[in-house]
Amino acid sequence: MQYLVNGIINGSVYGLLGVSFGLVLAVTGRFHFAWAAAYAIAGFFTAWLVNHDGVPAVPAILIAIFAAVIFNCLTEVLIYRAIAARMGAQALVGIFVASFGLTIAVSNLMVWVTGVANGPETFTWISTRTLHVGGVTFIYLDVVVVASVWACGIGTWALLRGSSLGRRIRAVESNPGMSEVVGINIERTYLVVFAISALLGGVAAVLSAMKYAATPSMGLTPIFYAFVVAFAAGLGRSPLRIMIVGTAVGLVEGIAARVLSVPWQPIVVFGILLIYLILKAAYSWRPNLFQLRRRVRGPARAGTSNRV
Amino acid sequence: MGAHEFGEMGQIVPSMSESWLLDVMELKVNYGRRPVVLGVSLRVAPGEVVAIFGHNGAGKTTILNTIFGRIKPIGGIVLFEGRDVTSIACTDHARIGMTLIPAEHFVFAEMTVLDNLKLGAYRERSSSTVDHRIAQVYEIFPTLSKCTGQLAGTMSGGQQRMLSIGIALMTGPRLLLLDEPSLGLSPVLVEQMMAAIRRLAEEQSLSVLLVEQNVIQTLGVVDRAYFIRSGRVILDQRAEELRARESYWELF
Amino acid sequence: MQQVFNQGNIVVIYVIYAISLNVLLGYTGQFSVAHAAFGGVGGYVAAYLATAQGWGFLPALLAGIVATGILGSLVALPALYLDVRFLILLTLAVSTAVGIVAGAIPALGGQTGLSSLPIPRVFGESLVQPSQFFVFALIVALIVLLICWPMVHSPFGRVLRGLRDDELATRGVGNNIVYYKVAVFGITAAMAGAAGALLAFYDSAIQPSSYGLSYSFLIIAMVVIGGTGNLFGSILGATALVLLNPFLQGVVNLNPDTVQVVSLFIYGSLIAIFMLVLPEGLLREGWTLARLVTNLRIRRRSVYKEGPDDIQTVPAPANTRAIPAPANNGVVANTDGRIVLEASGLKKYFGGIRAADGLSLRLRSGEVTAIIGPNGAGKTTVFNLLTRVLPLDEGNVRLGNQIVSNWTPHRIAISGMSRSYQDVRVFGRMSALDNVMIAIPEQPGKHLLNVFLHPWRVRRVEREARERAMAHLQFVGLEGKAETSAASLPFGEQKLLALARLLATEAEVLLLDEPASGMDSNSVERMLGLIARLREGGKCVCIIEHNLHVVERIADRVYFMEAGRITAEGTVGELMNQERLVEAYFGSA
Repeated sequence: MQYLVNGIINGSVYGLLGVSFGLVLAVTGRFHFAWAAAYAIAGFFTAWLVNHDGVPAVPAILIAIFAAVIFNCLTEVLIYRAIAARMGAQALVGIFVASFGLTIAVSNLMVWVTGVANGPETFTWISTRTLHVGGVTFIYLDVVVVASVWACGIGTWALLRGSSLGRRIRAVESNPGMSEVVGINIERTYLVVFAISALLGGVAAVLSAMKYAATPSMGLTPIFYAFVVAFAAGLGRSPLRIMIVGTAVGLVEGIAARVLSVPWQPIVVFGILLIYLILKAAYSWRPNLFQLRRRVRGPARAGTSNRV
Repeated sequence: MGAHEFGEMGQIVPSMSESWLLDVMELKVNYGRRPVVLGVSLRVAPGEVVAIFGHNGAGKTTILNTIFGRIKPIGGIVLFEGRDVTSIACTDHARIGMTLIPAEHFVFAEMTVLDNLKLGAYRERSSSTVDHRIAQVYEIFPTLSKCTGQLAGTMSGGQQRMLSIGIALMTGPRLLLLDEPSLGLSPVLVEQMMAAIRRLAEEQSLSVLLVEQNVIQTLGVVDRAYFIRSGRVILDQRAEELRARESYWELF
Repeated sequence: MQQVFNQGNIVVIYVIYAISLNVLLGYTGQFSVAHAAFGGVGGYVAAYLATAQGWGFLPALLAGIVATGILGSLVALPALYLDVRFLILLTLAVSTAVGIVAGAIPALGGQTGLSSLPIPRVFGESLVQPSQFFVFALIVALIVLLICWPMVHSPFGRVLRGLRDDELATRGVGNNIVYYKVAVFGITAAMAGAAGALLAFYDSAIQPSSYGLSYSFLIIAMVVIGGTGNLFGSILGATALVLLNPFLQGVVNLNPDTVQVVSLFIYGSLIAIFMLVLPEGLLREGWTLARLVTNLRIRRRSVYKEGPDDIQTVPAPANTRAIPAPANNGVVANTDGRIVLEASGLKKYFGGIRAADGLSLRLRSGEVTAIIGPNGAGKTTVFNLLTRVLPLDEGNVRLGNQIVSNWTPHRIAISGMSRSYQDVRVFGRMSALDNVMIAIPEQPGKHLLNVFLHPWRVRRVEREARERAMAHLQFVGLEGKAETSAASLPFGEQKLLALARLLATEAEVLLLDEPASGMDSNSVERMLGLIARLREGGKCVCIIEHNLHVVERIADRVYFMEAGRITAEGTVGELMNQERLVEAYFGSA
C-alpha cells in the first residue's frame, strides 16, 4: 500500500511535468530539451536565493520562476526561431541539438557562477513532518505537492477549455493556417505557451527542491519523465488526461519498486518509452495489425492535392 | 452590385464613383527559384463575385495565398480599397476586411462548432457584435445551429464547408477569398453552397473571389471569371459570355 | 612526454567515435544519441570477459566489437520505421537503458563498475606506457578510417547519402534500404564499441557514468562542429574538443574542477551556436585538402554557383524523331505496342475514402499513356500502388509476365518499373552525376563486402557506371552540370535530372508524375521532346498531367480517372467529345 501511495505522489508530479513539456511540443512542434534548463533555473535559483542571499521563500520562488519564464521565451525568440527560419525541414533536429547544447551550457554555467565546490542545495519552507494515515507514511510536504500539482494541472485544463487565451492556444495547435486567417499571432502565442510551460515546470521544480535537493542539473531526469508521460498520454490531449497518465506511470513505478531492486527501478520508465517506440515502429510497418483510435480530423482526401 | 459599366472588351470597369475593391497588378510569385505566377493582374469590384479557373498547377491557389499575404511576391502590387496591402502581415488581413478560406483544413477540427465561430471573431472586441454575428451565421446555416457543441472534425464534409464559411463571416469581411470551396462535396451540396455564396454576396454586399475547378456549376453564380494557365491570365470574361462557350478544353 | 601521449590516446579514441558517428549521422542522416552508450556496451563486454572470464585483451576487444555490432543492427530494425523525432527518442531510450542495465547487473559492478582491468597485452607486448597504448590505439583508428573512407566514397556510400537526402527516392531507384540501414547502424556501433573498449582498458576501469548521454552529445558536437559529411572534419572536431580541457587547464590556468565545468559550458554553447550559424560544420561535405588546392588553382570555375532561372544555355531540341535513344537505355527499340504493365481491379481504401475502387489499366511499350482527371481522383495514388509504395487492398499488378503486387518497392524498381515524383525529390547535397549514378543497377560497389574484397572490380564498374550516367545526363542535356550540386539547379533542370536518374534505372516502364508542371514553356518543350525520344526507343511511358495542352501533344492514349476508377479511355480528341467527361472535369450545369 505504501508503494501505491508513493506512486501516486510521484506520479502526480510526473503528470505536471508531462503537461508542461507536452504543451510546448504539441503547440509549437519544438522538441524543447532546454525545458530541463528552465526547470533547473527555477528550482536551483529558488534554493540559492533562500540559502545564500537570505531572500524569503515566496519572493525567491517568484523570482526564480520568473527567471525560468524569461529563459524559455528568450530561447524561443533568439534561438529556435532563427534555426527554424534557417533550416526549414531540418529544423526539428537542429532545434533539438541546439536545445541540448543550451541545457548543458546553462547548467554548467550555473555551477561555474555559484562555485564548483558547492553541493546540492536543500531548501526548506514547508514542513516535512511525517504523517501516518492508515498504515501509510508520508510527509506533510507531500500533501502540498500533490495538491499543488493537481491544482496546476486542473488550472491548465480550465484555462485551455474555458478562456479565450486557451481557445487561442488550442486553435494554434489545431490549425495554424486557420489561426492566421482569423488573425491570431502565432509567434506571440508560442511565447505564451513557453511562458506557461516554464511556470508549470517551475512549480514542479520548486517542490522537488524542497522535497529532495536542488542542483544545476536537476532537470535532466525529470525531462525524461516529462516526455514519456507526454507521449504515452498522446500529444495534444487534455491536461487532465496527461495528469492521469502521469499518475499511472508513477503507480507502475511504485509497484515495480516492490519487485525491483533499487538500481533496476529506473528501467520501468524507460521500458515504457521503449515499448511505446517499438509499438509505434510496428504500426508504421504494418498498420493493419492495429486498431488505434484516430484523432478527430477534417475531411480526409484520397489523392494528393497539388495546390499551386 | 454597384454601378458598373462595360469596357470595350466586355469586361467590367467601375464607374467613376467607385473604385475596385481589390486590384492586383502584375503579381509575380516564385517558390524558391521556380516562377509560379508570372505577372497576373486581376480585379474585383465591390459586391462582385469573381472566379479564377485553370488546370491544376496553374497557380490559382498561389495567387490567392499571395493576395492574403501568406506568400511574399517578388513583384507586383495588391491594392485593397485603394490601399497597398502587398506587404502587410498575413494575420492583419482579417482586420482590414479580407478573409481566406483554404481548400483543406478549413476548420479547427478538435474544437466545437461554437468555438470555431468564436475564433472567427478573434479580433472583434465587442461581444455583442460577436453574438450578433453568430446569430446571423446560424440563420444562414441552420444546420450549424443544431450542432453547436459538436466537434468540427466529426461533421461531414459539407457541414465543415458551411462551418468554414461561417468562420469567415464571423470576421466581418468585405472580401472573401475561397480556395476550391466545392472540393470533396457532392454535386447537390456544391449547388447549395454556390447558391449560399451568391445569396451572401447579394444580401451582405460581400465581394467574393473564388478559385474553382468546377467551371460549369460555378459559372452559374459568378459575375465574371479569369482563366489562368501556367501562371498567366489567358482570359477575363463575363459569366454570360463564358456560359455561351462551346467548350472549355482549350482553356486548360 | 607521456602526458602528451596521454592526451593523444584520448584524442585517438574520440576520433574513432567521431568518425563512426559521422558515417551514421553525417552521411546517412540517422540521428543517434546512443553512440557513447554503444561504446559502453563494447567496453563492458570486453571488460567483463577480461576480468571475470579471464579472456585475453584482443579476444575480449573483438568480442566487445561484435556484441556492439549486433546490438546496433538490432536497434536499426525499429529505426527503419521511425521518423527522426522518434529515432532520437529511441536512441535516447537505448542510451539510458544501457546505463541502467550496466549499473544494475551485479556482475558488472553496479555504479562503481569494474576496475583493475588487466593491462592489455598485444602479441606479447604489454601496453603499460601511454606511448605504447597510443601506437595500438592509433592502429585501431587507422583501421576504422580505412574502413569508413571507402565506405563513404564508394557506391555504397552514395546510397548512404541518398538515404540522408531522400529515403523514398533512394528506395524508388532500386535500393534495399533495410540492408543499408542495418549495415550502417551495425558497423558504426561496432566501431563505437571498439572505442569504448579501448577507453575502458586505457583507464583500467569502467563505470556507467563514462558512457552517458553527455558523452554522446560531446561526440555529436565533434561531428557537427567538424563538419557532417566530412571525415577529416571529425578528426578536427574530435581533436579540438578533447584538447579543450588541457588547454583550459594549461593555458588559461583554470583549476581542474573548474575546467570540467567550463569546458562543458563551452562545448554546450558551441553546439547551440553552430546549429544557429553553421549547421553543416566547419568542413563542408566533399571538401578535402586536395580540393582546396584545386580550387585555389582554378579560381574561375565555381562549382556551387547557382544556375540561371531558365534553361537558356542549351537550346531546346526540336520535337525531333531523328535522334535515336542512347544505346544504354537498355530496352531494344520496339514499338509493337505489347502490354508491359497491367493493373487489374486495384482497390485501396483509406478509412472511408476509396482512393482506388476497382481500377484497371494497361500500359504498352513504345507508347505514351496519360492519366487525367479531376483533382482528388487519386491519380498519384495509382503510381504509389503500382510501385508498391502503398500496399493494395485488392487487385493485381502484372509487370511483364510477373505479378508484382507483393514485391517491395525497390525490387519493382530494379525489375523494370520506376517513377518520378511530383515534388522532384532530387538528392540535394549530391552532384547531378551522383544523383544519376545512384540509380545505375548492378553495381558491385553497392555491396559493402565487394568494396573491400573486390576493389578493382568495383573501380572498373564504377568507371563504366560513370560513363553510363554521363550518357543519361547528356540525353537530358545536363552533362555540363554534372558536378553541380542538385540543390543549386533551377527547378526545370532538377526535373530533367530526375528524369535522367529515372532512366538510369533502365526501367522499361516509366511513370512520370506531372513531368511538365512548374516549368516554363521552353523547359516543357524540352521535356516533351525527351519523352518523344523515349517513346521512339520503345519505352513505356505513363504520365499524370493536369495540363491538357501537354497531354494533347504527347499522349498516344489517355485514361480518364474519376473517384478511383478509370471511366474512359481513348485519344484526347475522343475524350473531349464525350459529354460526361466534360461534366466530370468541368462540373455539371
